[in-house]
Amino acid sequence: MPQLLSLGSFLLFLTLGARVRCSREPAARRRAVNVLLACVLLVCGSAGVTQLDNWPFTSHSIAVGRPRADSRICQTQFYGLDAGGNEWRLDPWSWTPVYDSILQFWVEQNLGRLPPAGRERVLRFLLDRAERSRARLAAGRPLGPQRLLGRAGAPYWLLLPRFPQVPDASWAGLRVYRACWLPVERVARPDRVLRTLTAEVRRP
Amino acid sequence: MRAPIERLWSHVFYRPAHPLGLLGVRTVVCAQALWILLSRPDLPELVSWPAEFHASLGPLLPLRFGIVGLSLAAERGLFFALHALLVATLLGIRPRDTGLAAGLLLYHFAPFEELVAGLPHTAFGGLTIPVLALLILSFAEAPLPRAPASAEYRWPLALIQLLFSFSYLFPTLAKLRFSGPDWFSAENIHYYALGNATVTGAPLALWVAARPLVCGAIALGTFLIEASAPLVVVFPAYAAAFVPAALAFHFGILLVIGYFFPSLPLLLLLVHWDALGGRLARAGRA
Repeated sequence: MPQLLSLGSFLLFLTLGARVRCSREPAARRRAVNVLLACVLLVCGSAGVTQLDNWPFTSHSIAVGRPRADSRICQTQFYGLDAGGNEWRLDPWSWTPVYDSILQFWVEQNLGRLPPAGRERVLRFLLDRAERSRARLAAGRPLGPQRLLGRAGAPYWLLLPRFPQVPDASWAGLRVYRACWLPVERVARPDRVLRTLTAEVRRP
Repeated sequence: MRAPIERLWSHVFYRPAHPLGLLGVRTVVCAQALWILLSRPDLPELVSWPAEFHASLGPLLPLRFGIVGLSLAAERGLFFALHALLVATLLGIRPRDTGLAAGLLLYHFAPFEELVAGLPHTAFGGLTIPVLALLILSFAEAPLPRAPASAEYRWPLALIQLLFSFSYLFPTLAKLRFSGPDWFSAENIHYYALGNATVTGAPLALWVAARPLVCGAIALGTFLIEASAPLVVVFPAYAAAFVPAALAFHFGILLVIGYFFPSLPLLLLLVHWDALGGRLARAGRA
């Protein structure tokens, strides 16, 4: 239902805009413009006040919480495995066009709910994507926003650290970890991270 | 009460505007959209991801954006067409028609980046304002460079500027709603900086986290900039002050918590286009 309402509000915007576009007589045009303005402000204002997102009439919710000293940060982390079994943290643009933090969210919400066959298919697909990105990086070609525009490419809003180092040989596998830490502890000791293996896939 | 509101409405949306405003806004939103799209050249590939990635979305969310199972080749064709339409709009080639088509295609493609996660932060992808602006400009009269100032050139400009100002105001409303006024406290900024030092590795995170006065100044500055943003459509002089303050705000965020604002170039929407247009006209006559 919310999706239909969102689609309805966008179609209403288009309809009222078309009315403005077709209006010629000044008084009628002014009325049509006023209705369009009022509608856009009402729909956008509703998103802003209720914080119910209705993109592109959006609530712009970001960084709204209040972390505390004991607030634990948890993150899904992806590692490639080389032939020797060594782990390499994967670059956040390895899954392009999906950014690492979006894939993290998807994995946390969905991977565990998939039946074994679906889970296997997803992990093998991700391993293939990671391998494609590894090959690009190993050949000295950029990933993600730098592909066409170089350093002028627009980054994703969350600037996760980049990991451009990759081995020359293909990935032998992919590991997915759940990593949690207390910021105040990790700042003092970067290795204070509790990692739990969530998933692993290896090439046959 | 009604008369002051009507006066404000008339001042914001119908005081005569130089046509340069709409020409400038059209250029800025097209360039912004092209910048983001050229930075995400493989967006259409999302349709070729395994069905498991889309299964939790249900049928209606993709349908809302016209994602109806087209082949990868078809999506790539549309994506290429979107670039061509944006260039045409930028160059003023039938701008209302090309802008309308570009706006609709941008509405289709902008959610791709975050679709599998249900669009948690699509608003921050840098395409939200271009989608709305291209459509609004397609509804309005196309500006003629040498035309006299007109209300026809004001309402679309003011509406787009106001929508952009909401990207500052609404985050404050969200903070107040979910965390209350204490969000804007030195302690909160301290923990944001500390937390993000371990996630993004922002270069000034730990330096700021160790300085309560700086944290307090950031909290106050955040509130003032975000909450006052809509004033830019009422007072052009405020917009002139807002733009450098917002630039400093975004660079501060980048350095302290590592969040980039992909809509940063859209601050150009707030240029005092009337003054610039008047100056150009005088220079042309001289």
